[in-house]
Amino acid sequence: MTNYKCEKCGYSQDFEPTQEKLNKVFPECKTINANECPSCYLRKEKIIGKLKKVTTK
Amino acid sequence: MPISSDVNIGDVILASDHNELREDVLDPSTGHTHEGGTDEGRQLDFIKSMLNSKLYIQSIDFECADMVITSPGTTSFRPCSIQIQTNNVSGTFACIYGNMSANTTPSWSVDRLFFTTVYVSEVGVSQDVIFGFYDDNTSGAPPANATITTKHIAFLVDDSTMYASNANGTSQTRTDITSGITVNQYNNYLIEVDSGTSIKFYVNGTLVATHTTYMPSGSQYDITVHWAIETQSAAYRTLHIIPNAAFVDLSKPA
Repeated sequence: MTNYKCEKCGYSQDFEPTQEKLNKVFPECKTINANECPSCYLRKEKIIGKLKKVTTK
Repeated sequence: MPISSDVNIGDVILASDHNELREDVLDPSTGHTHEGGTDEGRQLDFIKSMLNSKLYIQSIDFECADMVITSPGTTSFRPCSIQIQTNNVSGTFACIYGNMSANTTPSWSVDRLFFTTVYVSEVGVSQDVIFGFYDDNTSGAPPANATITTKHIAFLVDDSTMYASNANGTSQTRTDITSGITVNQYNNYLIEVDSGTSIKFYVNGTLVATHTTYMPSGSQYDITVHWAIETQSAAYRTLHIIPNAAFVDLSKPA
């Protein structure tokens, strides 16, 4: 199973954090960029974590 | 279209002012549409949802007849919490659940929220727990080892590990969300279902996981809001539930 996990806060999602997909799933995050963590974004963190690909069995 | 006047310090707010403001906000035929256009008022998603959908909110009454309590465990109603407890026999469970709709067949494919505050009394012990939306064609017991492909959208616990989980009847998506969560204390858990797009899991107001795969769909009579705990050793296991749980259905008009 492939997940994308925030190295800063531990948030996880099961889809690749492309710009298009993030905009579709998180329309409220109007200025989020590809690979950025939506959980950090929603908490208005000064530094937004990056999502890293994690593969588990 | 009524437009409420500005209010200054010292102004007296009359009933007519209040009613005009109320009409502005709630009545789409004479007030603002709140769609963001000129003179249509600021766009408010929850107002838009109320106007465009059949909003159905239910605070869950744990003591009403529609809630089912499953033996052989025990359930006790206390002034501030509900306690469901297994027996001290491996494989026994305690469960409390209610059908989301008593007279119609509910659908999985609906925008939906579920909120609950619970406390798993022990960690580091052999147990299984579920709370969330579940298909109660099962016995009511929680899934063993947090592994199940039966349709559900829920938080699961396997011993000390907590998962955000969903399944579509064939496959399961689950995420270990244990990090940063103290399972054996009261936490606020929220599930937000954006039908066909995503399921978002929140703990204490923080988004901890988002799933877009293997989301359940279709209609099914036995969808329940569900809390259950099972012991996998000869010891009592307990789940405490604050009676503030609620779910919201945002069904689109027919």
